[in-house]
Amino acid sequence: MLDLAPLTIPFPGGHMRTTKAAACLTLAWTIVITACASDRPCASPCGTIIVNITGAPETVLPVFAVSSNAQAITGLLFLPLAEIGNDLNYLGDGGFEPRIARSWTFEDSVTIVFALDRRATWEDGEPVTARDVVFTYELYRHPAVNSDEREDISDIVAVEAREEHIVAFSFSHPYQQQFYDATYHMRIHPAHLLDTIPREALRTHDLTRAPVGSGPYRLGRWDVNSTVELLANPDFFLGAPGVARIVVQVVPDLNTTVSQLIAEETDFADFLGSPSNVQRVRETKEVAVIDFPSLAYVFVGFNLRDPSSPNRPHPLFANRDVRRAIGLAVDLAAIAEAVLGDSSAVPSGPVSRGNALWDYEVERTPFDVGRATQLLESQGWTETDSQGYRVRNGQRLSFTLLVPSSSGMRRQAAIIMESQLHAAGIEMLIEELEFNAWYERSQRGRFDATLGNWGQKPNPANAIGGAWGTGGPDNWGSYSNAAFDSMLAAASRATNPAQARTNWLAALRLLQRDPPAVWVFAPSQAAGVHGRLQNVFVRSDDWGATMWRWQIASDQMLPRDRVGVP
Amino acid sequence: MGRFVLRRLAQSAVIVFLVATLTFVLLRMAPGDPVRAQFRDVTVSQEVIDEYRRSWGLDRSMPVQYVQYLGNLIRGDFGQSFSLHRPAWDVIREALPNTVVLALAALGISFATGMVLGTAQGANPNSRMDHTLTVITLAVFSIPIFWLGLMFMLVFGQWMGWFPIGGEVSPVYRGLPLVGQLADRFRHLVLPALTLGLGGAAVVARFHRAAMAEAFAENFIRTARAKGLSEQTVVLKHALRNALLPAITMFGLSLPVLFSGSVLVEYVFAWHGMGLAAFEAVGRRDYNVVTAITMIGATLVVAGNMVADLLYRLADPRTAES
Repeated sequence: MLDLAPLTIPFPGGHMRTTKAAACLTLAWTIVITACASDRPCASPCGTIIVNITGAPETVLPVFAVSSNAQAITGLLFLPLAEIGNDLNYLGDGGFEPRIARSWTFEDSVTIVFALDRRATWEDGEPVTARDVVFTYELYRHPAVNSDEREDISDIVAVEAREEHIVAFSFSHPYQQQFYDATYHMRIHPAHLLDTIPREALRTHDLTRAPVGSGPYRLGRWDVNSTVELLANPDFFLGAPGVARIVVQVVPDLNTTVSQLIAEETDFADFLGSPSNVQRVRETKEVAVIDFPSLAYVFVGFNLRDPSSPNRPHPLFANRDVRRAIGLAVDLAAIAEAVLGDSSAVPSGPVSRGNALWDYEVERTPFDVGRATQLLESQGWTETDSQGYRVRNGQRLSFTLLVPSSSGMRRQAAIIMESQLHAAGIEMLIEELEFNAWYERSQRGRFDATLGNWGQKPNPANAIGGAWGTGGPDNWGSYSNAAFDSMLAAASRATNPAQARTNWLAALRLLQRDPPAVWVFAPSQAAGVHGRLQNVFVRSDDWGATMWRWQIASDQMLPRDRVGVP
Repeated sequence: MGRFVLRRLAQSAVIVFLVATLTFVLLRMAPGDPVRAQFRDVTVSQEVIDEYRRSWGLDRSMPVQYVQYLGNLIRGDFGQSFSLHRPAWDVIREALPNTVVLALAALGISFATGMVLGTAQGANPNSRMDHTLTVITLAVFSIPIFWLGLMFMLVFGQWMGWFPIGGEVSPVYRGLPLVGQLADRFRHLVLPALTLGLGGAAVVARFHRAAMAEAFAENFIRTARAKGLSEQTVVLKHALRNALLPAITMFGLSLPVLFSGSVLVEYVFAWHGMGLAAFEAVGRRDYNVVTAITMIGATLVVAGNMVADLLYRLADPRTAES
């Protein structure tokens, strides 16, 4: 299966010797790797998936996983009580599939009782019991463990083991996301192994590097900087995984990843980067591109406080009409098209494409320079200077946009925006900063406007509240609107989907009228997948979520698929 | 010689201490919060952030942190990696061998290629070959290292399929027999080592050409030729030996260049060495890993320079007398 094309490439004169030597090397390598491949007939689980990720996972224990890569890898080792459906519905239990829990009942408006699957065992053979679930809840809540999911499970007031395989979750109040909160944020950890370790020592304990899970895969090897190897658990109680081995390798440069996909050196990457990279992969017949909605959105956040004196309102952006005018003067659809092609769209608020709110019919801010002009003139910005910028009392209508230099897409969007705003008489200066410097300036409120990007979970309430709610930890621009806060709280506390939808719609519409930001674009994401992989589905929040069901047809194996597979 | 070595060791200790202090100060002066850097594009509560800050000791004053940092360094403890939740030394232990292999291979390519070219040019000054090689070496020297790496990757990796594109071994490396593992390592080493080594080869060639040309103008060469020695003996035994001193100086200077150059090459080729680890750690404001890498790098560079000085004294005993 290895490409022998070098043998046929014609090189003149002396180059032929080099070509032959290199071709011989390639051929020799083909023979070595083919000889090392197991010749036993392939039964499920079978083959190897090589996955490229851009950053090393920080842990293989779910409670400490922060990055999306660590969450995806730990998700293959440890199971939740129930797995969210592919549509990422977070209201009620619609779409959720049983995992550690075989079934569940809503006992009353604040209690869910789970019956655990008696077939579920840890890798060491011990059964998974209600004690593990109670321990897991305490682990995630423990201050010394300091899980970043702590806030997300704060409405769960108690988890109680009623029988060896029956466990009850109690909530502080009735709301629609109870089931999601009980199952999405926590993966069940083994109490019999971890309970005796002091919580403050757990993060760096040896057991966290040799985890014992209950999932479809086991940890084979973990080279901290470079590779995580997962081996199929053939005794997995929900059925053997489709592929025998998953090797996750860290390749920081997306260009290298794309080249590796094209050269069949890797099988999967959940992110390909720029549209040109995606196009390179699309042109390769051995590799398929799977588009899926991203859980991120990009925005220009306004600072409502004066960056030089935070006690004072911002001279420009404290004015709602100036903020609205800037939103109207920018052709967001053109920016989305230019930066990301067809794979992007303009959001109606702080909402990503992968989120259920995306489908809510909230009108986008139109591109309307005439209306923007009216608004600015109504605020006294009536004259223009020799360069075409609006002035008021001798002051030019000018602000600086902070942009992280690490994001090519955001830099490109900023440049287009600059010229569009110039046409409306608004001067936007661009200040590019290294990512951490940009983050610190933004987080400390030392900016006029900042071009940011937030990722969300399926339930966006905490992320939206944190970034745009009054006093939110990531509300960099100090936006404050009591009506919005109460709509957000009402949406989170709604007891039925219709009520939640009404409150979300009202909140998003309010943000259109009193915008804390311009919602620039919400991207789709493109994953590259080798064509021989079957049953592939990439979930927006977790690239590994369905991987245990992927398969490789035995007649499409590459030699490397079976090298070293037990 | 013994006093010389002792004096250089003492100087090296001072240099490493200064590097340790500078690294500590500069890292903390650089914008960016090491805790927030672990949560890119994700909102987390202030409570979680504060707890991280406390557990990493970042809530203490700078002088207290500095004293603790020096105390740990003296005990050989680089602390815990913020981003990888394990001792920083574990990160180094995995990355260092990869960088040493790459640097040695690149060093070999630089000096072997550079000295052969420089010798050939110096022995035939102003010939057509000399002019051609001058143009080629200058061109190679002018090419940005990352671009050269990308081109090698594209041509010899993606198009020709001769060499793998990234990594220091194949993902299935452990399933190969010993011969296969050696072949696998070699195949992965070729492109990054060439990328890192060729730029250095051009520089060595330029310097060595000048040194050879200077040696050929000396009287002892004229004497050797007058004695009827073969041209090969004149070049290899007389001219080359006398032209070695600048090359030894360059050897010492090459080490820091190789370490800094390896950051780009390791990034492009996904070569999991110290450069890539440093790149990741700086981006994550992982103070302890950055410090550890800087200290190890500084120690290696200081040691390399010391070796170069010793070689210099061996090659030219006059420097020891002076």
